[in-house]
Formats: sequence, C-alpha cells, structure tokens
Amino acid sequence: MSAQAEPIAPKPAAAAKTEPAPPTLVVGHWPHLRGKDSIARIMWSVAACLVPAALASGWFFGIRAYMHIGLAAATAVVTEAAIQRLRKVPVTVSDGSAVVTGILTAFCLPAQAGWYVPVVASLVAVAIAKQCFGGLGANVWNPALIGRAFVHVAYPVDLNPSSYPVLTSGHVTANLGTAGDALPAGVQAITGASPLAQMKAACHAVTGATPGANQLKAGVEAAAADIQAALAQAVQQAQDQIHAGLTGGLPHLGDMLMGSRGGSIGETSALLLALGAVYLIAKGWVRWQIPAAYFGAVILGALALPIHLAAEVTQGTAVVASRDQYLWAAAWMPELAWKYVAYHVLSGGLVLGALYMATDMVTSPLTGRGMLIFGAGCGVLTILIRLYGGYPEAVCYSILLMNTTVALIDRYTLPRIFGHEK
Amino acid sequence: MGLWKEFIQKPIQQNPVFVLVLGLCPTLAVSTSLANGVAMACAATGVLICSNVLISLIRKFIPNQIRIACFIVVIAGFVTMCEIIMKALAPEAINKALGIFIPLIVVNCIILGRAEAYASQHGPLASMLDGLGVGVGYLLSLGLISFIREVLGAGTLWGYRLTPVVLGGTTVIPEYTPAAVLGMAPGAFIIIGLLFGLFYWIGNRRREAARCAAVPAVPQVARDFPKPPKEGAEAGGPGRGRRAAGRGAAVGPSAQVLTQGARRAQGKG
Repeated sequence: MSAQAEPIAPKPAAAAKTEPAPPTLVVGHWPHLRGKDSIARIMWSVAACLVPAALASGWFFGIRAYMHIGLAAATAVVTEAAIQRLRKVPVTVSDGSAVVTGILTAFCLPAQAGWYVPVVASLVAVAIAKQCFGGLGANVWNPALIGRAFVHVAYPVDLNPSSYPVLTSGHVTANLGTAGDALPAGVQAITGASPLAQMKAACHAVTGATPGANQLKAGVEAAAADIQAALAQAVQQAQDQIHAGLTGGLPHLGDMLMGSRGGSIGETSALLLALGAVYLIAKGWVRWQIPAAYFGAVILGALALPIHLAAEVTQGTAVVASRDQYLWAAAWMPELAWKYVAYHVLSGGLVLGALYMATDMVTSPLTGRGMLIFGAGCGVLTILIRLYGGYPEAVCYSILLMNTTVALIDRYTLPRIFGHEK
Repeated sequence: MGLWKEFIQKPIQQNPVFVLVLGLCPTLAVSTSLANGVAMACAATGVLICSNVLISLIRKFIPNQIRIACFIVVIAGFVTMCEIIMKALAPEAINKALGIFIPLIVVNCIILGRAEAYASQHGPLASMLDGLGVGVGYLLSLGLISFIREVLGAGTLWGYRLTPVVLGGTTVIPEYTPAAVLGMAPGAFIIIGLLFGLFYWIGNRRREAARCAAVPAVPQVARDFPKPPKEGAEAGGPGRGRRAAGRGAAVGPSAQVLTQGARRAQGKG
C-alpha cells in the first residue's frame, strides 16, 4: 500500500506548480468568529461620514454644491449598474461603493464648474478607473481622483483655481482680503483664488518691472544695474506679499478650519471631514498610519524646504534677466512659521485627500509599515509640487502617483512569516 | 475568387491597428481630427499599395540577407513621391498638421510588415489587393479614432463646429463643451485603449457564441456514457455545458474540456 501511495503523493505539488492556482485565502483552524463588517457596511459608513461636509458645502457654496454631489453620485450609480449588466456580473450598486466614489468625485470639483463636469468626472471614475480594471477591489488608482484628473485636463476653464467661489450671498465671512465682507445685493458669488493659489501667485507672479527701452539703450552697465535693482525690488515685493498674506491677506485660520474659503466643494471644511474620519479610524476601517504620515511629511516638508521666489525682468515677451531666491519660512519669519505650516495643512484638498482618498482600502498598502511609507510619499510629493511645481494644488496627483507604487510597497513590506528565515 | 474573398475580409481580420497592432505612433499622433486621420491613412495606403506591388515584382532578385534594406529603399522612394504630391495638392493646414509623420511613413511598421509578411511571398496582384485591403483597414480604424477624438475633444466634425440642435424652440441637444483632454496625447491613449478593449470583447463574444453553437451535439455523445472522464466532471459536467450553451453565456473552458472528453470517449467507443 505504501509503495502505491508514495508515487501519488508528489502529484498535487507538481500540479500546483505547473497550473496557475486560483487566488486562495488561507485561514486557520475553525471555529471562526464572523465579523459584522461587509463592503456595504463600510461603504455606507464612509458615505455617512461624508454627509456633514456635504451638507456644509451647500452653506458655503450654494445650491450648486448639492446639485454637483447629486449629479456625480447618480452618474456613478447608473454607470456602475450599466457596466456590470454589460459585463454579466452581479450588479452591486447597493453596496454603496459607487455612491462613495460619486460623492468623493464631486467633493474635489469647484461648485462653479458646469453641470457636465461632475457627470464626466464620475463617468470616467467608475467606467474607466474602476470597471475597466475589473471593478471594486481591482482598481490600481483611486477612481475619484482619476475622474478629477481627467476633468482637470479636459475642462481647464471650469477647474481654473481663480474661478473657485469664495463665498456666497447670505454667508458672511471676515477677512477675505480685497473681496470684502459684504456682498452687493444681487451678487450670487464672488470668485477668487483659493488660498493656495494666492500663496503660489505671491511667489511666482512677480514678472514685470520692465525697464524702459531707452534705459537699456543708454548703456549696458547702467542697464545691468537697473535690471538688478528691478529684480531685487520684485523679490522684496514677493516677500512682502507672502508676509502680508500670512498676517491678514489670506482667510482666517478659523475660517480655514471651518471651511469658508475658496476651494472645491467638499475639501474646505477640515473640521467636519476630520469628524467623520475620527469615527472611521475608531472603527478600524481607516488606519491612522496613512493620514499621520501624510500630515507629518507635509508639516516637516513645509518647515524644511525653502520657498522659491522667482523674479523676472521682461522686455516685450523676452526675458532679459531672472533671479531665484530661496527663503526658509522658519528662519525668515520665525513668529509666522507655524501659521505658514497651518495654511499648508488646511488649504487645498490635503485634509480630504489624506483622510479619505489616500486611505482608500483598495489603493493603499496592506501593512502598517507600508502605509507609513505610502503616506510619507504622498506628503513629500504634495509639498514638492506645491512649492516648486506648476500646479497650485498637488494632492490629487501625489496620491495617484503613490497609488502606482502600492504593489511595490506591498512587496517590500511583506511581514516575515514566523519561523522562516528572511 | 479566393483572392477576392481574402481581400474582402482583410480590413477587419487583418486590421493594422486593432488586430496587427502596428503603426500606433502615427495613429496616436495624427488622429486629432478626421481630416488629418483620413489624409494620413490615404497617404499610407498609397505608399503601401505601390511598395507592395514593386516589392512583389522584384522579390525574386532580392538577396534574403539584405531584404529589409531593399524594402526600405523601395518604400522611401514612394514616400518621397507621396510627400511631394501632398505638398503640391493637399491643403496647407493638413500638410502642417501631418508634418513629420508623412516622411516617417518610411519606417511605418504597417508598410514594412506587409512587405515582409506578404509582398515578398506573393504575386503582384495579390500584393496589390493586400495593400488595398490593409490600407482600407487602416483608413477605417484611423477614421474611427479621429472621428471620436475630433467630435468629443474639439466639438467639431471635419472642421465644422457642432451646433446645438433646436427643434421647435426647445433645445434638444445642448451646446457641447469639448473635453480638451481627448485632443491631447492622454486622450489618444485612452480612446485607443478603450477601443482595443471593445473590439476584443466583441471578438471574444463572437468566438464564444461560435464555440457554444458547436457544442450542443457533443453532450448528446457524452450523455451516453454514464461516467464521463474526470476532466469533464471537474468542469461542471455535461448538464452545465448544455445549459450554458443554450444561454450563450461565457463557458469557454468547460465547453472545450467537454469536447475533449467526448472526443476521447468516442475514440474509446
């Protein structure tokens, strides 16, 4: 008997080696405790956590915000159902993942955008970013951010930061710089740059200071001195502008925390977003590692990396001379450095991105160590793009870039199996 | 007749973009508008037909070791002619838009691929029809891609702006806001990727349908044997195969295994 059994025994192993085995979930001995968590439960909880910020968005940006959220969520659900029907797989719109995708997509769009922007963004998010890759759990990138990135390139006019609404009529907010507190009767909304765009503009919009043509003709040396003076003046101007912004030109930090500032629909209210996230972290559906590493990297980056001031002297369209100056916030204005860092943390989509987008279960690493690496990478990319890149806002692209590396991170942070050599 | 039948099937079955996956670089680059796409496809088709015929004529004199170089010389000659003709006759805007991509037809892999795979082994008439067939396939695919990109990405068609459709005072189709991204490089990749997926999906469904249509006779044989071979049982047995065949659903592997099992059973019988 044993002689017969021996040749049979190696067979399953050989078969397993040659044939690609279906993905298996290895579990231990029974009995098992059954958790109550399910996709539907988690997704609807996330949706519920987004509700306060969604409600507040209407208060800040008017009825258009609700319209956008509704349109995006409806498009996401319809698209998901239609594609799943076509793919002949079970239609799973009732699990709420499409709704969450829709809401998050709308959250990173400005209320001023046309009605087609949330529809297209949501369509791209669900159809291309999610279903084309195999549906929930198989997507490489965060669908909502893909949708946002698509419309960002597709409709640059609608998503231009300078057209982001600052406040709507009936809602009074203090300290909006030149926008003023009181809205004239009949005005629906004032558009203006979001705080990040304002900061960026202060650093980079210092071209100008054109010396007259006759001055340049008068003599090369005299002209060179003029140009140097103009450059120095421009840099000083930029410095003053940033300083003025931090001491009063930008929205109040309190407003930044509550959310009455320029920006996308759902990203402004840091406090309400954090409220929902605290619940999700307490439940264990969002791990603290990603937001912590993300915020930490942004704070450290803002302190460690210098602000880049660029000045140019132009004549006609040609750049005659330019100067780059680097300033460390902590060394240059020690008393305002904390404020500068606070603006970095609270402005843009950082709070929304770090708490809800980067922590997406599908597109983030599996291990705690991997999550720390992932979050830190997002933070470093965000601060690098913000300070030195072309876009005023960087959260979307930094998270998408880090999503790409998740498989690699998972590979290198695999926990060592107990009892095995490394 | 065989030649004609082959020619008729060529644009779809040997489609250079979606089946052979050749010549993607100009396809991605010039498909920004329908006019550009059609002009590019026409230029490439003209060169393809001429080079196919000439290469087919001289195929017996070309030493095997240097055949690629000979093909390139022939193709380059026709491309030069094509470029000069286009400069003389085609509208300025199209010449400007196609730019470097007309001279680059020299290294277009569709043309070199057809020379290597077909013209160097077939007679001149067959090679001409091959060039025409593949050229029409290129025209169809480039036309489709550039049609989608121009309509969605620029809101125009053949250069004419799409206007809102108004019927009896009510706007039926509102003003379209073009999605600029589709006119840019990422848009080209997205559109081509989606079309690849779509055609693959359609082809797959058709293959499945053909396979399932062939199945029903088989379970009849398999059912005669009370104990089907193990592979058949693993795949779900004859009952499942038949049911799925009736539905026309995707049960490719099981149907195939079943056929094998049945064939073996037949051999035994």
